[in-house]
Amino acid sequence: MSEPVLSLESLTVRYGRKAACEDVSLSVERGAVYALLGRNGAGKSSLVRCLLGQQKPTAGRALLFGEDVWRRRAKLMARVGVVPEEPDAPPAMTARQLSAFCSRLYAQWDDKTMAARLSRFRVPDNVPFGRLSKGQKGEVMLALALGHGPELLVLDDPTLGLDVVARQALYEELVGELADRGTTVFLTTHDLAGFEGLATRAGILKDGRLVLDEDMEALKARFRRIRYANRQTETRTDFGNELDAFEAVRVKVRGWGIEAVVSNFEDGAFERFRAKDGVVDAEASALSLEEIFLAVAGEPIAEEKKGAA
Amino acid sequence: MRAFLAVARREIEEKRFVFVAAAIAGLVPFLAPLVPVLRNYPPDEARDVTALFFACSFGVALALVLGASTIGRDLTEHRLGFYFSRPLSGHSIALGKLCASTLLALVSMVVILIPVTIEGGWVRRVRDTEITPLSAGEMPLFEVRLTLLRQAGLLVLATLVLLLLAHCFGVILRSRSRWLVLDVLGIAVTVLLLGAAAGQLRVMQITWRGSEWSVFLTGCLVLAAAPALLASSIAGVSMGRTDIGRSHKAMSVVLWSCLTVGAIACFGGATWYVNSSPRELVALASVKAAPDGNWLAVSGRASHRPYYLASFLYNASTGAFARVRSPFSWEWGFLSVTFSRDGTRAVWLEAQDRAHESVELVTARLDGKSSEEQRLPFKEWPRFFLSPDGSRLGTISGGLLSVVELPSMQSIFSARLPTGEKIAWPSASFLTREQLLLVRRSYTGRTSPPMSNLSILRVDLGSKRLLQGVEIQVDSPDPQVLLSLEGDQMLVQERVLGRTTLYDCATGAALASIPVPLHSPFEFEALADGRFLEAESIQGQSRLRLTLRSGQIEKAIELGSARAVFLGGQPTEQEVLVVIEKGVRTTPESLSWELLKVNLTSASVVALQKGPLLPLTAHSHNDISRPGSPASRLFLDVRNASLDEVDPTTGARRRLLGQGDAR
Repeated sequence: MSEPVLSLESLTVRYGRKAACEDVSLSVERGAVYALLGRNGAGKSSLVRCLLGQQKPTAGRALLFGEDVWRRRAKLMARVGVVPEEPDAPPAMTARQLSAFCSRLYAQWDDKTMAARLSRFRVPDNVPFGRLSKGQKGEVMLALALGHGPELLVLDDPTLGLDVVARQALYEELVGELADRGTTVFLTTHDLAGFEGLATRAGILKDGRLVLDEDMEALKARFRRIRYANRQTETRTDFGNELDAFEAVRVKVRGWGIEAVVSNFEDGAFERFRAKDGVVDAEASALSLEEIFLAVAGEPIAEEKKGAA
Repeated sequence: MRAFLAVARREIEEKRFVFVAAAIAGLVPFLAPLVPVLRNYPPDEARDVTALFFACSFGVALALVLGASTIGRDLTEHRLGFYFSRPLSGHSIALGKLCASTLLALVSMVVILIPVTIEGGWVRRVRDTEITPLSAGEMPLFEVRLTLLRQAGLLVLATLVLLLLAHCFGVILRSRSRWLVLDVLGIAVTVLLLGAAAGQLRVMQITWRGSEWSVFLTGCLVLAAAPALLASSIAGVSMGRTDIGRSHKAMSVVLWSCLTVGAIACFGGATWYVNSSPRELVALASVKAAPDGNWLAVSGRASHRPYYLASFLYNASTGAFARVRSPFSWEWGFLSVTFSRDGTRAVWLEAQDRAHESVELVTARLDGKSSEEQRLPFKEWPRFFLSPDGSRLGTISGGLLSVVELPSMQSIFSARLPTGEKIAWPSASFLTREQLLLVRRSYTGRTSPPMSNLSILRVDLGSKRLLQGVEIQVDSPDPQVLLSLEGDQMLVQERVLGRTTLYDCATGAALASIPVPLHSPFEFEALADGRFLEAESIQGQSRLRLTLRSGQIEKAIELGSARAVFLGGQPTEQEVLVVIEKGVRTTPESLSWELLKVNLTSASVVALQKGPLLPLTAHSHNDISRPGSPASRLFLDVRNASLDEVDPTTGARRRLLGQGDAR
């Protein structure tokens, strides 16, 4: 098995007494597209800063290509492309000047590809960065991140504030990059639908803890929505008994019956569930990444049960 | 290096507009001759000076603005992440940005000066005028001439320091984090330590050209702070990286660690500098012996401490010593220390500020009964004298004669004395514990006799009365006065007239007139038995003359061929030690000195030692050494700047102090 491109070992980041990340461990294999999800304030940005060697973890460590990124950041960054959450290039520099600057730093800087990308994005290369639109800034940052053919691309919520067209251009560029070079991608995003098709693995941070870290296929296979009606009970509080075979992460009582999201769906178990007395019109459907995220990172199930009662 | 250059180049490219501003500013000085206030100056001078002013102002302002904003604003606006996402080390980013900013400021200054340089040859003007911010003094340190290259170096350093200071303060103010507490603490500790160090060096500042030292030390501190500022700036970026709070923390920790260590080193160095021991003296500058007992006041240069005269009260017998702060005085000679006749107490002056506007008179017991010092503040430099037993201190300051009891400092007598520019007190001393004798000289302002009047005043402390005595008219504007031990006779040297006259202090009658060689070495000394001893060297022949109390010359003792004679102490009542100097005084090595023991009764002369030895005798009433006192055996070796003791019987010589003490 090849060495992971990126790995976090019991990474903890604290600001005073408050923990932004708590004992987070994960690894990303070469060629994978890892989507780190989490609500605002879940600790994603702190984790990315540690991952890029911009912040020293309180405990644990972040490794890129097997090396401690805090200690070897300058060397490792030659193999990494970064698109930050907020475009941070010097505002007075044009895209052309930025490209020229980067060409002095990277041995394998590809000026032509950079120019071609900007052309595809229709971003003028002679306008100061500060005067570009938010979408154009994001596109310039992506072009800069890909200019030296990085082995790892770190995208920190790259679609934040982008319109649909800009988002689409970004996806296409990423798809092209992945198809051409098999670049490993680590991204944090709130645009779950956009990256659902790209991500091969996902992780969910909740209150600083990594509560989920799994391949997308397995994730989608085990998370399902089950809908059914229960004719045996008149009261809404008895809905849980028949779901005992599942780990229900979210249950809602609707007018027509019950809707549950389960995290350990299995065909055999579902057939047995359907055969139970009182379970009528049961059906199981796949969940989108967004729905899985909502189920995992949303309000806890206990609260919903209380509410239902 | 490539990374550093890339960052620096980017920074310069981004801010290249400052060169345009500088170029425009460079043309403004050509309008200077039209400015009304500058019309009185030659046009080229007005233009050049304006250009220099513009260049300096522009450079300073740019250094401050760039220093405060270059990294600080990037941190605040979260733009450093762009650099930290590239293969750039933290120090490349910091150094690249800071060096580029320094270069921008420096080049802008040059750009402003270019037009006037092309037009009028500014460089030539600078080259011709060597700027010395520290006036050239006696110390080699201040004789450093600032060449054009050194000026450029100084300019670069000053710009960098300004920029770094602005950067540090910029980060501190922008961060507004809790680390500000550390900054305040750091400033307090550093200032306290440096203040304490300056306090230690106060004695040196007073002694040696205070203002130059202040400027020099401040310059040294700034130079020493530059590496700390640079290191902390780099650490702030390298360790804090993209977060201004962490950057502030890293910067402050490094800055205050460096500065505190530096300040501790300064304090330690200053403490070490002014706390040498007599054993560390390598070259004695001045030695004064107590009339009796083993105590000396010594002053000299200690090893590895240039430009500083360490001064001590030193017991030649036991080696015990006490440091004496700033006893130096141009007015009072090298050492202002005065001993009581019995050698049990010393008194000296300590200046309290560099301007010598306030001084303290310090007294200390030397017999070990009490080590405590007593201090008496004065606004003017006083004349002071101790009673023979050291129990009373007399002072004349601001026209006020005061006598205090020691150690209580209780005033027992005070009287207003006439003051004025034409009045001086050439002699003031205790005859006994109860009686004072003062000699007042009033300059008549005439060029013909009498040129000055000498008045004798007596104070009886028992009856607390000031008694006006006789008045003697002398034909010299500044006569030297030597009183006999009992104070009943007074030898007045009117050198310009080539005579010395012995007066009776009670009647004012001239008892005898002794001819004095006008242009030849001459010394005179009062002996403990009341007689006077004169030493003269005329036309290469030296002799001693012993004058009786009646004024009659008792005898003359020929000492042989010598160009000068120095009177020493008396090992016994009938003997006196003298040093004669032979040869031509061109270099210390060319001199031939000889120490002789002269028997005043038999007039026999015995050679004891050869070498450049100066006797430790002082020519004032209060310091007449007791015959047989240890002081009579002590000599200053002029060539080796050491203190030597000579056995008056055998002539054996022993080094006591100096050259790092060879004992």
